[in-house]
Amino acid sequence: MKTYGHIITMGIQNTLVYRVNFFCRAFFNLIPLFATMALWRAIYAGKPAEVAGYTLAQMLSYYLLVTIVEASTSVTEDDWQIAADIKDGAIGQFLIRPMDYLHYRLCLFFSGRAVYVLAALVPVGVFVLWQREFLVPPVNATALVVFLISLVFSAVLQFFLSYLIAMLAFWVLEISSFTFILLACERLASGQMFPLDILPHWLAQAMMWTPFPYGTFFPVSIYLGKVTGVALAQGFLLQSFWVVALYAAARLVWQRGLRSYTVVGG
Amino acid sequence: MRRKLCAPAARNLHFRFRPIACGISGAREPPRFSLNLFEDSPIRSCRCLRRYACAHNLVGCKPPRGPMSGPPARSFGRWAQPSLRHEPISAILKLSQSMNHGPIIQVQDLTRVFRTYKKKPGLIGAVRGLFHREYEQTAAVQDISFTVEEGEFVGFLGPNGAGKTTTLKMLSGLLHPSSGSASVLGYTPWERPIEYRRQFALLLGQKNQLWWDLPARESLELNGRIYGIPRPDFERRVGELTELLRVTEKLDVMVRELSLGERMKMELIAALLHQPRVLFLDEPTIGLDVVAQKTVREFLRAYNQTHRTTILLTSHYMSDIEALCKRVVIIDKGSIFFDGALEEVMERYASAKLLTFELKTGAAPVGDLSAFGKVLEHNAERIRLKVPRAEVISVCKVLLERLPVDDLAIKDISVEDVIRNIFAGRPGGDTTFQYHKPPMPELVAA
Repeated sequence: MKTYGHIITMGIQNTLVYRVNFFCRAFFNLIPLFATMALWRAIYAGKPAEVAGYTLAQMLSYYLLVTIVEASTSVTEDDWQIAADIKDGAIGQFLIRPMDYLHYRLCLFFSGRAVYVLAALVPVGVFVLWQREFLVPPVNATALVVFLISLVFSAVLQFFLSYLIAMLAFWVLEISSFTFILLACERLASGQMFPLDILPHWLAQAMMWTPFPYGTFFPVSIYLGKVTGVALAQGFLLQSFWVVALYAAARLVWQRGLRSYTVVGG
Repeated sequence: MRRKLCAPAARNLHFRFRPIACGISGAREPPRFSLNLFEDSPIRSCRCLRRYACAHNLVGCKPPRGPMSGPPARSFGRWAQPSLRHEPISAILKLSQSMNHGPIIQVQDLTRVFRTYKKKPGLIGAVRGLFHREYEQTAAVQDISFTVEEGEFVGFLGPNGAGKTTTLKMLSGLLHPSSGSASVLGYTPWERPIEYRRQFALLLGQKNQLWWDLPARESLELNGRIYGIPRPDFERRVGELTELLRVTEKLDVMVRELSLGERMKMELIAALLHQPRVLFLDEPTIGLDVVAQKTVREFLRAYNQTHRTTILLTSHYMSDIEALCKRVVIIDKGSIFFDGALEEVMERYASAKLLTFELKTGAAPVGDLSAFGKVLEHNAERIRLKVPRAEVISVCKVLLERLPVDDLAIKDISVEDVIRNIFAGRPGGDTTFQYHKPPMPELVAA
């Protein structure tokens, strides 16, 4: 445990190097966000009171919340770094030491998130304050707590997904095409572009069986009070299922990868 | 401080573990041991044994608490027999191995074949490669066998691509062999058991294991945590090692700002913090300046002597091997063709030095020099001679007196040359390089 605590502090110190990078990224992400919000305002000006069950304030809050969730849970550099570690043989030092690479990366992911949130705090905070009239408060205190718990799950889930993709570096030289596929899936299916409720009911339902909505859409829906009761429990169950399943898959693929690394390559 | 006093005393322990049930190497069944402690043992208390365990990095070996009663021999015997059985196997194995006199590293017919893709030249070859690939099997290491005793310092020699690094990688579990077997400390390296990983270290001179953007102290700290080194031990070891390697004041400097030599020293410290019983060093002095090389070398020698750490070292520098290793294993093209005392190699194959005389311009041409040694180069500017070690000084004297010499260089024959000579010495090889101690001739002017 002390080991992991120390890795996190080292990771934070190390990632602080990227603070300006993170700040800029957070800042410039606000521009498309602003555009999207303007678009929705225009749509609502045509006087539908609700779109897919969202009022204007809820819709705008949705996007603000997506920004917050994304900043605190999405994977930024980790997949590239993991792939690089595999390709240049840096994973070797984890094979000769009594230490686990997955846990190590998870620690670094958390420290990366911590630094990112810190760097994004000012631009995103200012933006949210500016647009505060559109940020609805959580429906109730329970929703907020459940939202925060779900946030942790969503971070771990997204990490395992990226980790899995990065493991491909054991077999292919360049993983960037795969990471872009993953990115595209995430943007569409996780509800970063639009709330999944906009889609036809059957499609939205089908998507809820994939891991992607549990990265962004699910926690935001909890906050907005769109999922409650049985649906909430079911969602949590599925989210946990995906976390466990992806963890198991990550372990399995790591084992396979190592086998090819030590038996075939070197 | 007290620990420090105890550690050296514990080297000549008089207690032994006697295996009762089964063999030690690779044992999956928990072996049982009885502990015989002799009356004259320096270990007189549980605490002392614990210290010994600590000094030898024996994790999990915990003698019962409370003061000992009765004569020490009896009481140790009493607790050891029934309760050691419940100790983690690893702790017992480690203790027993340190007491056992079998070789610490055993390698038998180890072979590693790499499959490489052979691309035909040009665009057509590239297109063809998309559909049909031809692979070539290359044996990086072929049927090598050797054993190493605890505390030995063995040098691995060989040109690039000889299979030295591949061997070290297999012994540290980074590579799976194609066939053959190896056991280090009783473990099979490529199974990578955690207990094995706690007891060895691998240092690749070409790779950086420290965090680039942080001070070295942070990386050391991390290693301390990974190996679960108790805080006071950690502080003491870092203090000692940095002092010996003269990098104490560099601990808080960013790794990327360290010189190559300083970084390598830090890498070495990081590898030694957990006091590995076996240490694999791959080119630890590569690219270092002479002073740093010497510091590292002296440090390694002292470390090997005081800690009885078994060290396998590969290096391109003959001087490293010369200063450190009594025994050398020479590998080329994947197989061993010499394994023995360094003196023997040096006498047999590096018995000569290279002399280079830079001549003054416009000097009169010199006659035949072959009587002094093997002439490698002879023209108006330069003379290069290969001269038997014993005659270097006398040859220099004579030639310096007789020739218009501008500059003189004396060099050892490089490792590569030594290896080439070993080839030459083999049946069917080139055997011209043999000296019969010729009498010192008079120099004849042309």
